Amino acid sequence: MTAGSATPTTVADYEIVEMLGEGNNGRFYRARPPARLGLSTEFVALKVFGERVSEQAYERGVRELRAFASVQSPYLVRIYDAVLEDRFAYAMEYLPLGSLESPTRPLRRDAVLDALEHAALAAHALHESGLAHGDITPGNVLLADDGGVITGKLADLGLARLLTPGNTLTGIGSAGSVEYMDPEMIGGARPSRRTEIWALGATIHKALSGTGLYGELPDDQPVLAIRKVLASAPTIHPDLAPDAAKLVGDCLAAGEARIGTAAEVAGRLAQISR
Amino acid sequence: MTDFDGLRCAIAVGNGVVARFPGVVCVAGVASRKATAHLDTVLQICKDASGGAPGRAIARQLASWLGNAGEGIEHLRFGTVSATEEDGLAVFLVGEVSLLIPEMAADISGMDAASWTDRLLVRPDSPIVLALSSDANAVDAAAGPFDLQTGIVPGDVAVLLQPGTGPGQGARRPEQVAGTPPPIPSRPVRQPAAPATPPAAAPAVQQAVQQAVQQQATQATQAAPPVQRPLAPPPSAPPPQAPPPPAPPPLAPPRRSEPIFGAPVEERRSPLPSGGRAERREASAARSAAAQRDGAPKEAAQEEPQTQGHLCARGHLNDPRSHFCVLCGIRMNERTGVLVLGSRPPLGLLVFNTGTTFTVDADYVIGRQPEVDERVASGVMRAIPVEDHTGSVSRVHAEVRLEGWDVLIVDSGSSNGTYVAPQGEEWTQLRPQESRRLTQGTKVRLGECSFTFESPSGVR
Ligand SMILES: [Zn+2]
Repeated sequence: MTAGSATPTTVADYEIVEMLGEGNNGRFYRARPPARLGLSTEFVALKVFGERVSEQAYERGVRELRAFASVQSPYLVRIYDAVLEDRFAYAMEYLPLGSLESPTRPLRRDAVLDALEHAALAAHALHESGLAHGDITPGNVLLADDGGVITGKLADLGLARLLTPGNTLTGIGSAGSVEYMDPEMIGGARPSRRTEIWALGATIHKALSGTGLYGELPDDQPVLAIRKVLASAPTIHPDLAPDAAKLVGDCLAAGEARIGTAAEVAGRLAQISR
Repeated sequence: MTDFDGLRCAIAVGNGVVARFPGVVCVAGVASRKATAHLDTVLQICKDASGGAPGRAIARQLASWLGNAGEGIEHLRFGTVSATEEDGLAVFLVGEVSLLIPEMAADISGMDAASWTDRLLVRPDSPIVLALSSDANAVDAAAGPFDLQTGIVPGDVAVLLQPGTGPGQGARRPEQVAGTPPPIPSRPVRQPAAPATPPAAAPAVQQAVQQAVQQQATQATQAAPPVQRPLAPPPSAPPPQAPPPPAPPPLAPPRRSEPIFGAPVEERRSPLPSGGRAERREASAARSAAAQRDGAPKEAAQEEPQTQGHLCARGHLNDPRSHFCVLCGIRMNERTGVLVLGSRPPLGLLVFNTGTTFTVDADYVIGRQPEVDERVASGVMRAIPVEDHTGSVSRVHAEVRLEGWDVLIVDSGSSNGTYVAPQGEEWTQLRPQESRRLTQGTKVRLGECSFTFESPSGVR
């Protein structure tokens, strides 16, 4: 259900410089913004959705992005503009350091923990404003350099289920994103604080241990990946420090034992030994 | 700038059709007689909407008609270029049809999108080529003296050119009729100070267009009528010695764009629910209200349909046929099982070969353009749009329907059929409108696209 793979030279009135990556229903490009935006920055990151969307779906997307942009948090990426041509695309700030999944330079452990804490605070700010991110993964925790200090910024609000109702997992990228999704959501639950905290736990686990909760998943065989995730319990890597392992466990816990808010997750991250 | 209807329309004769009505030029071709009636419809839409600036109206009507056009539509290809209010161009291309603006290196094809390509462009001063083929010979023919003003003629290529001696010059007088040479000033016209942007795309087409322009100029010089209108004042100063390098042409603004950061938000939302059990029903009601308010598709408000089932010891509603609770896995006690009306949980997942996954908690229409189905438009069913490059997926190809605790696949009368293979069994084709119950692991194929049904009970 995806379009061809060639990198276009333009998308709407954006001039494409290079492809940055794939994920969550679309592709990211580094692009030069059109003059109409009046931006002083040379580049933006442009997310282009892989599937056609209707005008109505586009309007729902715009409403959601505006709600996202109105949330007051220094740890959310700034979104500038939404456009509809053949495809739906939106432009946001370009952060050259990459993400927790693929940083453009090696990160120290304290920087990783800081970025995770920021992502949890960003998620909490969204939740307090009535929004669920829906797709918290290491690839969506972007990294900014604030005068030598790494700041994490949560990006790429999951719009898939809004654009195509019923869509639970998006295809572009890899089936690997299933490992960050609360199995209850795969079973049909809607995003809530509870499912988001599960995703934060899985993100923390991957960022600190380098491995997924289900080991290696068959990226190119989505059915097998989903079966593996639904049929097995997540396993916390034994090398994780005890306080970090406890935090991940409390994010994944069943029933009332799960941590209640993303702010609590941030607080726990702040206490983890650096 | 010359009015759209003042442009000269050169054509290359061919097996297709070139039509021009006030405000619109159309090029079309049919690959089979089955599409002849569709061709007539396109021409009729153009004609009926013509006059003034019909661009947006034509694009809208073509899109709406295409969504419901019946059999044989795949044998039609066509493109329209029409004027819009802001002196822009609306371009609508279906199938193997190209729109080229050689001077701006613009090359848009009807194949750029699965359904159609629909663009708004800033109208350039330079030639605009609408072609069923980018074959150089075909375009060469457009360099002839033709000038279609109104009507329908055989042709494969239409080239819209500035009247006068070259691009960017001269304005045609409105009373001028087809076939008469355009008026030009009796003195040599001032040449542009800087050469136009060098050709960057389709050299053959570019060359052909230049020939057309040159021929037009030659023709005009030879048959120059007396001056019929005031001349443009001569340049008051000589052109600059070193003109600045031509800036790249600005890209046309997108069809739609909305500012995000700093834009007003319609209303503040209440904080996100924690997702605990007690909150679910309340949240569901709130979502329904919000969905209605937001104009979201109606199915969002129709979630959690009521169905009869058995409750497990922990209160989960289950299919009366299942022996274990699909949510918590505990054994169902069938003997005490009284049928209870409750909210039906999702019945499984549709996992596409691309990895895209849909929750089976509503009915779906699957196809190349499922939104043309009125049940999708009215919100009764959801759409699963499938990208298709082989032409083997119908606009509305198949449906997934929920009936009680069963999930059914139904062929919607597709052209190339829907194939089903239950786990461990051979592929069989569904007859049109035939339905088959999906069981854990059943594979379904439509064209080059396939998905697997995963039921929650099956994975436990
Ligand atoms: Zn149960």
